[in-house]
Amino acid sequence: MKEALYVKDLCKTYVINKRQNNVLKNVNLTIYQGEMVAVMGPSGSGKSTLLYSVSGMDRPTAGEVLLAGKRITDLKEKDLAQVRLTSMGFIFQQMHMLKNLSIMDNILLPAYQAGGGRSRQEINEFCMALMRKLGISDVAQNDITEVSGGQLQRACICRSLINQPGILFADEPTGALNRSASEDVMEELNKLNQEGVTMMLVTHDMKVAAKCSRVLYIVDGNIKGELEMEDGDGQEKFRERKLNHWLIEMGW
Amino acid sequence: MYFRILRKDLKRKKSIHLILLAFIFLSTMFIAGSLNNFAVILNGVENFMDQSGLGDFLIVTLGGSKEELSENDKDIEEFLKDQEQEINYTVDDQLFFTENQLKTEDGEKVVLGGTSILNSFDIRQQKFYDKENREITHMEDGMIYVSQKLADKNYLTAGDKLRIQCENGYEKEFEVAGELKDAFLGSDQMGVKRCVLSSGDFEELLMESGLPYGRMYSVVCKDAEAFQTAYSNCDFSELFSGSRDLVKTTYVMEMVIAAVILLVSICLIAISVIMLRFTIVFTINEDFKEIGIMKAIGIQDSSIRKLYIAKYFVLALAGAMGGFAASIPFSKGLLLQVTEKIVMEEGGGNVLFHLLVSVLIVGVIVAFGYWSTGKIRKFSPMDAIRSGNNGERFRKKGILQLKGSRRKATTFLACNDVISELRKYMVLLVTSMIGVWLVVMPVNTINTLSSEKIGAWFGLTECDFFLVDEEKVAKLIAQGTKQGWYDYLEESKERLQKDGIEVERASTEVYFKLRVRKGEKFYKSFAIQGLGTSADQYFYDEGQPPIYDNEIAMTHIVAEKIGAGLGDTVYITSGGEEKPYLLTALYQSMNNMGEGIRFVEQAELDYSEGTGGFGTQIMLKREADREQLSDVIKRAEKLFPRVQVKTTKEFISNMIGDIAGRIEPLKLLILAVVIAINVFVVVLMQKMFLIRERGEIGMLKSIGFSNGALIGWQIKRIMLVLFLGIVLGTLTGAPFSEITSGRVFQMMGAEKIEFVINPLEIYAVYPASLFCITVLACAITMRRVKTVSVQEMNHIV
Repeated sequence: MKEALYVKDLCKTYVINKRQNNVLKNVNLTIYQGEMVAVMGPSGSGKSTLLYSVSGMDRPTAGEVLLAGKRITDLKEKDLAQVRLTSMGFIFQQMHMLKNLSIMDNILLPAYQAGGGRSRQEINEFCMALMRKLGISDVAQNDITEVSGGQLQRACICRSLINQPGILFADEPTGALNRSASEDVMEELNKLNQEGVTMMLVTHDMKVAAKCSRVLYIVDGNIKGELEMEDGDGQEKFRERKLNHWLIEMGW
Repeated sequence: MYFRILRKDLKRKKSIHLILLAFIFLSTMFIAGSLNNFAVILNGVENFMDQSGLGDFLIVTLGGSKEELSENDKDIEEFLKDQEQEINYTVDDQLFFTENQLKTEDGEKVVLGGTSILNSFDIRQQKFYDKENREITHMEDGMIYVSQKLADKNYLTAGDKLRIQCENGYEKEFEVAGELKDAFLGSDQMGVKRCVLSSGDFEELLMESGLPYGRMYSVVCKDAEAFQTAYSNCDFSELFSGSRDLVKTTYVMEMVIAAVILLVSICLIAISVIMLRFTIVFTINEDFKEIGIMKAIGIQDSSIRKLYIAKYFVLALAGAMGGFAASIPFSKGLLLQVTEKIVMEEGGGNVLFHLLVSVLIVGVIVAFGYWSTGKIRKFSPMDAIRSGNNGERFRKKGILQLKGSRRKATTFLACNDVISELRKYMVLLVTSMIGVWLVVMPVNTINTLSSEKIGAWFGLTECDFFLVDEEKVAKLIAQGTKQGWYDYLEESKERLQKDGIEVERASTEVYFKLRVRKGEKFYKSFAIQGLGTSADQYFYDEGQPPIYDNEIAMTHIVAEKIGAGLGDTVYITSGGEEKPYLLTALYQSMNNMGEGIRFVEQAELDYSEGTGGFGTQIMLKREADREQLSDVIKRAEKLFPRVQVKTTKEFISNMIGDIAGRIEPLKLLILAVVIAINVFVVVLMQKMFLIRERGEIGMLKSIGFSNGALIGWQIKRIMLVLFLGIVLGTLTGAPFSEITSGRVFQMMGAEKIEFVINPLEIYAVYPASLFCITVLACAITMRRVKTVSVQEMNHIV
């Protein structure tokens, strides 16, 4: 399988009031195309820092990150912005969108900015198809304050997919949603993964992690262990029990 | 504890508080400085006249001597004694001199631009002041104070030596003591300039110099209008007669500058008020998060409000104190141009006024803060945490749609932001619009005053240059014959032609002060007769040019004064004889404050009543000469070494004062002020937006917008608003000029002025400079976008 993300000896250190805080310590990991990887761990373990560092949202202190074989750790700000625009998508816990734009316009924005050889007509049609797929086509022209949290997060997913990225990063994608909306969003993410979208997500929610193909457990800036969720583990309850057992072993 | 919160808050949100502080500082400076100027300028000329003790009606005569008064002066004094209403009057002696009689140390002629007057410093009718506004109460023998105009024209400063050389051989040297502020003859419109001497020196000159003698009467009465009517009814000869109100109108130059400063002040006040409101509302909205948190943990509304009001009080006090200190030199600087000739309360002198305005601004800011924080009572902690907007109830979706738009994403975002939240950009829109007005107005005024049409507006015929020989004119006036004038014109023409300069026409206008009557209404008006020219060569607004010797044209102002209309018969007294004339045309003139009666060349007038003459106007025959006018003028200067050779513009500028020349530096100053204000507003606005939009910028960065694209988005917004403001300002600039400086031209006597607009300047150069410099400043400020990180999207509102 081809590598979607390759991370080697990744370190991230913050210096606050002259005190060093090593948040990530020589993290190594590889995510293959079509995988859906969850990162779990206690609060302050470095999950989100890892996600931001490997996705190019933040610059690591040391180490190497290759996104679809392209080294992104040394890229200039301008080139990094291009990577964020075209090669990956990001879903945040809070549904950050521009207030003066409708749902559809918020989704279209990165695509219009990227251009990428597609005509505006094609982009619009692709956007509508995405919205239909995620069940929000009826609120396309609504203001961002006129839809529910679940709909807004699905709009954020649409936005992250509008430029057909190679990998999707998600930071607690269901963290701000209620149980029912959370399940809907995860169902959509699963469907997308089944269609071939590679994903790496950070979560506290066992139910969310149980839907992934692999789970990484991070403690004090190091990957302490990882769990493969085999295909045979298809039963949802069974997968959750397996994950629960493993997490207890890890010290969850 | 509250004090600690306040101190920490002030430290933590340093940028936003510094911006608010800067706006309060600027607003206080502008408002206090401008309001003070407003008060000072509005009554400036009137106060100066009061302070100088100028009478209600003034008469200047020429003729006779101290020992033997002219019949005219005897008659005037008789008239004054016989007045029905109770009057007081004073009479002072004066001597007249021309530029051939006043020389510098090097023997160079002092440029006067007209006949001038010598007086003793202690005349009874008015007080004189020096440059520093001190009353001149004592003068040493051998000293001379010169009028500000004269000092300016000849670069004279205190300590310079001047020599009076008279035709009878009398000579005396004087040392310049300084510049003179003179309420009666100080304005540019008054062609006559004055110098004052010690009483001993003046007496000596009176006895020995042989300079022409004259008298100056100053009448104090209750009803100046009735006195003027009575005076006009008599057939006295004088160089000047007019009420104090008329003298006041001659300060039109100062009024132009004062009007410009008033306008700038009004605009600055408007900009300040808008800026202040914008900044306070913005900063209070920023504070809603904190307010919400405090409410959420149970702190009462009143305590929260006290805390914020205390903060605004501290900021307002600091800003206003700085603004108060800066407003004094600012106000002084603005008034510098106006105070050149007028004794005014100093711009920065009224400290109490500045202080009062500054205190008022602190009060307004605190009251505004109190009112704005009052809103927090209506909100729940959640509403407040969301900066006073809970979205569902208040937020409005953008107007434009990206879907289907052909614009670039950043261009779309810029347009959508501006259209959806125009109020947010109103400060810049209004500032740039007012800025364009302020720039366009003086430019249009200067272009109009410098245009070819200016001669027509001053009631002159078209010509290529003027020969101005004041001494000759004085002699011709004394000679008192029409033929004398013709001989002079012919002589000038011949001398030019001998030198190979082909002359089409040599003409002049001789002026008189004549009584005109229609029915019971009469008026003593300035009147002219063109010699060497026909009446149809002048411009008229209504009617047909006068052709026969019993036909006249008059200005709208004189016609209105006596209630005459086209086709009416009016009666004019010349040489003691009242004759009927048919009014065939009306015209406008900015000469003599719009007064004027025009006779045809063949009309018979008593030339012994002539009071002066314009220069000889030369119209060239050959196009080639006209194309090389500067060469021709140089040749004419060699031919007439004692004569001043001037173009029409120079002649008029000499006559009324160089308005265009004096507005020119103001134009550049205003342009600089406007650009500085625009740049300042843009920089501060962008800094505020950057503070508020860090979340959005972070989010856009997270989805792949580069720094360049984000800077482009921010700049395009500003460009759009600036463009709108400048276009609106340019479109409304011409009517604004007509309302503002058009009024000044009307004060000078013009009925209707067609402004000369230079499209390149008005529609391209100035708007483009304003636009480009402001956008450049915005681009430099927006480099700060680079400092926003993706993580800051969590600050999104």
